[in-house]
Amino acid sequence: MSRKFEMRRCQLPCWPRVSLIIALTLSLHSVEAQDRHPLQSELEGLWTYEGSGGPTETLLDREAEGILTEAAETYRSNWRIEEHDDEALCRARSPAALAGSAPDFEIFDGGVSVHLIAFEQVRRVYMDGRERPAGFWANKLGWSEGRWEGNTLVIRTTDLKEGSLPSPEPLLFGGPEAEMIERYTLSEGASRLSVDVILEDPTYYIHPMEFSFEFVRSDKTLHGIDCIPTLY
Amino acid sequence: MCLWLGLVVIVSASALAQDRHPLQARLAGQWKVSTMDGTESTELLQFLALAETNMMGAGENFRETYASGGDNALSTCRMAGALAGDPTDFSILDRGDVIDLTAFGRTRRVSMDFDLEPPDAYVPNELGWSVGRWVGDMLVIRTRHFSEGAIRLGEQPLPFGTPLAQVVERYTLSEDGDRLSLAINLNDPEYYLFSLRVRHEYVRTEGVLSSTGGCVRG
Repeated sequence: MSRKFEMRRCQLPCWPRVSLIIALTLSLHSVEAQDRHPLQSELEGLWTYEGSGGPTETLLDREAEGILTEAAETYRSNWRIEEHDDEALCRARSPAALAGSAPDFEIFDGGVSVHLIAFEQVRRVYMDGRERPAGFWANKLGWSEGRWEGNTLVIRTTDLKEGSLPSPEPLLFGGPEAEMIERYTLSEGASRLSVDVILEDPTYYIHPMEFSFEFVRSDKTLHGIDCIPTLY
Repeated sequence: MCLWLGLVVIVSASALAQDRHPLQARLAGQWKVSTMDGTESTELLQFLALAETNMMGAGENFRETYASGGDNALSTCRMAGALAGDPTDFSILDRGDVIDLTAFGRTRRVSMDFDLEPPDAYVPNELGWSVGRWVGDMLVIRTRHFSEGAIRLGEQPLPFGTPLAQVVERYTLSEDGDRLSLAINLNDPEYYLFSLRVRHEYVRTEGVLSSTGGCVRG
C-alpha cells in the first residue's frame, strides 16, 4: 500500500527528474558519438590479404594450440566435422574466423554504420554509440561498435554465439565473455590496410590471441557462390 | 598501505600460478615406446607422409644444404620436437616447479610457470624454451624459441625451428599410471603449410633407456 502511494506520489514530481536523466544520457551519448572521421569514406572498397609469415590458418593454430582451456580440449576431443565445422556445413561464420582465413572483404561506409562484408555476410558496425535494440540476442555475427582512435578505426564485437575457427586443428570462439577487437589503419596513400585483431575468450583460451594482417586494395570482381557442404 | 599492496600482489601471483597437480609426481619415471619392435607405427608413417605433402619451398632448400654425415651437429644434437619424427625412450623427473625431460641423451627443462618468458640472456637452441601447465588431467608443454634443426634425420630429414616454430606436447597418463599417451603438435609456418600432429604411446619401464649419447658438435 505504502509502495503504491510512493509511486503515485512520484508520478508528477518525477518527470522533471526523468527528463534530466534523459537529457544527461543524451548528452553523454553525444560525447560518445564522434564526429564523422575523414578517413571513414577512404576505407571503402575491396581488400585482399597480402601477408607473409606463413598461411593464416597455421598462424592461428600456433597462437591457440598451447593456451586451450579444458573446455576447448573437450570440444576438440569430441569434434566431428558433420556437427561442428561451420565452414563445411555452410553455416554462418564467426567474425573471429577472420583470424584464420584473412578472407577478401569489403567495407562500405554507411555514415552512422560501417558495413563489413566477409564470408558472404554483412556485419554492421555502429559508429554512433547506440545501444543494442530491444530484442537483440547474441548471434554468430555479434554486436559491433566502432570508434576512431586517431587515424585507426577500432571495432569491438561482443554478444557472439559460438562458432568454429578455420584451423588445421578444431578451434572454437564465442563463449559468454568472448570479445573481438579489430584495429583498421590505412596507409598514407590509402592503398594498404593494416588489420590487428585481438581475440579474447576466457571460456576457451587462457590468454587473448593477437594477430596482424596486411591487406591491399583489390579490383577483383566478387560474385555470389552457393555454399555446398563439404563432408567426406 | 604498502603492506596491503604487497598482500594484493602476493595473492594475485599465487592466483596466476597453478597448484601442483597430483598426477605430476606419477608422471616421473622412464618411458619406453610401446611399439619398439623395429617397425614404424602407422601413426608415424602417416605423420611422415603429412610432413612431406605439407613441406614448403624453404623446407626443400633446407634439405639441399643438409648433410647427414656425422660431422653435422644436427646429426647428434637432437631437438625438442624430435620425439615426433623419431620416437624414442625418455624419462621424466619431477622437481616440483620444474620437470626434466630426458631424451636422446639431452635434458630439457620444463618450467611449470606457463607465463615464464626466457631471460634476456637466453640464446635460442635446439631444445627451445619449454613451459608447462595442467589442463584437467593432461600435461601440456609449449616449447618455442628454437634454433634450426631437424625433427627427423636420415635421407629425408624434416627441418624445424624457424623463429615462429612451436611444439605443443600433451601427456596423458592411463588410469593405472603405466601407460602414457603423448600427442605432439608441430607448427612451423615457414617450413610446413599446416601444423603437423602425431601421437605416440609409451609404457613404463624400469630398464636402461635405449637413447644415449648426448650432443657432439663438429
